[in-house]
Amino acid sequence: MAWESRKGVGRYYTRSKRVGSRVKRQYIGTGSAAEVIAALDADTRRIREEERAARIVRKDQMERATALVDRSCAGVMGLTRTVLVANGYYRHHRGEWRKRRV
Amino acid sequence: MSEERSAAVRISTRITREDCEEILDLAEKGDKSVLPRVREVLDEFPDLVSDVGDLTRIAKGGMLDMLSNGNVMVREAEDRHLASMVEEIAGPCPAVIERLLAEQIAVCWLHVRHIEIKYAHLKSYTLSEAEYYQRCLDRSQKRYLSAIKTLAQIRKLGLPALQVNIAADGGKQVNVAGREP
Repeated sequence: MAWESRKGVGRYYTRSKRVGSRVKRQYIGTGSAAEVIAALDADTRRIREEERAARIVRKDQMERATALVDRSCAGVMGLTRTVLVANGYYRHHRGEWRKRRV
Repeated sequence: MSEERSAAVRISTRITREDCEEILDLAEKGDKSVLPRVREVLDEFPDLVSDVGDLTRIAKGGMLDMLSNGNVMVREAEDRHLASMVEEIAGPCPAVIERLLAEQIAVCWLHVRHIEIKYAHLKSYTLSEAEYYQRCLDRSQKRYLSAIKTLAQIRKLGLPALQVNIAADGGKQVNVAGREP
């Protein structure tokens, strides 16, 4: 909706910009200057979209890596606890591991 | 004998993984009454050691794939580096649990490195993205230090002198804490 016409006449390039809580429409104009500005705006939008997509991919990769490490950590720590407990150790006040007196 | 076995099976089939957490929480507090249940847990999941080892290997493989970004040479070099790191941390003749912890430390170190590299290679980022990376880095460093601390505790307690023998199907036995001959 960046290009507008008035009563079916002309072709004006406009763009919207958020100012505080409101959206303000900026009227750029017509002709070749408007075409160049429109092309530049489109390019900026494309770059911003690409950066956004790249951010999503990076975040997804980070989450997957963290999930993998979390799972293996939980497994190893759980097994360590099991082995310690089975060998007669307990956690003193949820702190250090101590050997239970027989 | 077969009756005993079937009775043991009947008891152990009642244990779920959620129960394990509860049993271990009680056991950690020093509740002696749950010790038979702890042994039941180990009987219930005889493949626990290999399962945990698999989890660590899967994590390591996934991390290497992400870090190497499809470059086979980089992946192989990183894999060798990790293997030598595990050998160095585990030391000579490590107990099975020590070896698992050494592998875990290496995986955690790789994870810290992965986040640091990703963070350093960001060309542009928003403030919230920088905060997100910083949080991830903090958490991964905490996990890494926790794994190191656990291994140090295990060594301090001298656990390798003790051993838990887990009987698996077909007469196979898994020694969880014993040193390799």
